[in-house]
Amino acid sequence: MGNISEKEIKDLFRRRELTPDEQSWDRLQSMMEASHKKKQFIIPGGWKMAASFLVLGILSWLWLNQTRHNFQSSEKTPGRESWAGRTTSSDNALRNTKDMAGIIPSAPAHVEMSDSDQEKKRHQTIAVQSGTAEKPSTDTEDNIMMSSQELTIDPSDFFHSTEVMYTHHIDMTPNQKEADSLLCLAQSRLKEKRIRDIKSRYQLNPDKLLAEAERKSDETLLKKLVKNVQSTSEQVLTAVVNRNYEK
Amino acid sequence: MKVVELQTEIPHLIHQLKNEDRRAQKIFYQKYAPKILSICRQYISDIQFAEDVMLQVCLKIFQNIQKFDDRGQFEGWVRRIAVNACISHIRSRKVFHYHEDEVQIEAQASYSGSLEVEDIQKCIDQLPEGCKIVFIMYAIDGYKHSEIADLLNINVGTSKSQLAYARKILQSLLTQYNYIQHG
Repeated sequence: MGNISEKEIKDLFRRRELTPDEQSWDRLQSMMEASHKKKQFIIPGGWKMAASFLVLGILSWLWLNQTRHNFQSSEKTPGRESWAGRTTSSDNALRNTKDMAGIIPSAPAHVEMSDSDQEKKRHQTIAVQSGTAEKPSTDTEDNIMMSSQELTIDPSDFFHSTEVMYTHHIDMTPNQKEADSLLCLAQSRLKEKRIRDIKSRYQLNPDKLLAEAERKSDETLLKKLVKNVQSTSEQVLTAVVNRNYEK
Repeated sequence: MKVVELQTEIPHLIHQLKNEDRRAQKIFYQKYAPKILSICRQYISDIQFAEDVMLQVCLKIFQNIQKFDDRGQFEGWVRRIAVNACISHIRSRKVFHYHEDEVQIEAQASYSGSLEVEDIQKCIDQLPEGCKIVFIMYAIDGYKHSEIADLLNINVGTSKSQLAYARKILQSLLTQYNYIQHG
């Protein structure tokens, strides 16, 4: 039993060697591989800075370009804002020509089309005035025709709009919002037209009815008159009911 | 003859390690891993944790071998890395508790009994964490009080008192152990 000094303890521990686990080397290798992979993905600080500057430069250039383009386009179309609030035929004409410009670039085609529409319209108004107008058909084609008549292009408006477009370089690409609004407008107009047709079909003329009643009052005028009044009242009632139903 | 051989082997090994040679890394592991594990075991009671720290030390050495200048002692450099890794491992797991009892014991304290290194290790493992680290750093790894104070962020006085406290406890533990072992 000898004494153990700190020096001896130190020597004992310095000489000591502990064998690690057999799998330790494999673990160390996997750790090394993981750290190596991590090392590969590390981008030097200088490169990061350069990349961020490049991205910033590209973004600022794009932004400047965009703002310049917007400014130029707003400068080129000074009167455009004044048209926005208008819902006149010329406005519609301008919109129509915008949509048609991609399909039919030449102006005379538009003029011809609008002329024929005008002629049709004129004929119809004459027929209505003279009382020889036919009952409006319920076909969809006619409705479309009627709606197209409403959206006809006035030649003077058309020329004015095309002139404006050519002189001010207006972008002719179809706008989705404008197209949607036009479609909505057309649909609403068609609906209105249909309602008007139905109304006109069931409209009653009291003079006609009276004349008919006089013609039929040979024997018992009062009875027949009462009958007629009853029948007409029924008609009127059904008409009213139908109208209310349609509404 | 063997010593001379080793002296010439080490610079060559370092050179190969700097070139990230996998064979050299394995040779280094086979040569130094038992020693590093022994150092880690001094500080860390759990052998599994000690092995984990040993692997981290090896990895750190392979990654930072370029920083080693050939003028210094390679083994000393390895030992320092291992000690620092052990301290940071203990720090990451818990806070040290330093007992501030002032115990005056002679510097040349002696412990009676014929004890093996593993018996001493068992006694050291029973020491409180704070004074255990100070004792190992001072008595086994040869650090000075100022260095210990710097590494552990404590005062030099605390380091000294912790060493004295560790010595006192260890002495009693070793005596007790010796009595149990040998009657």
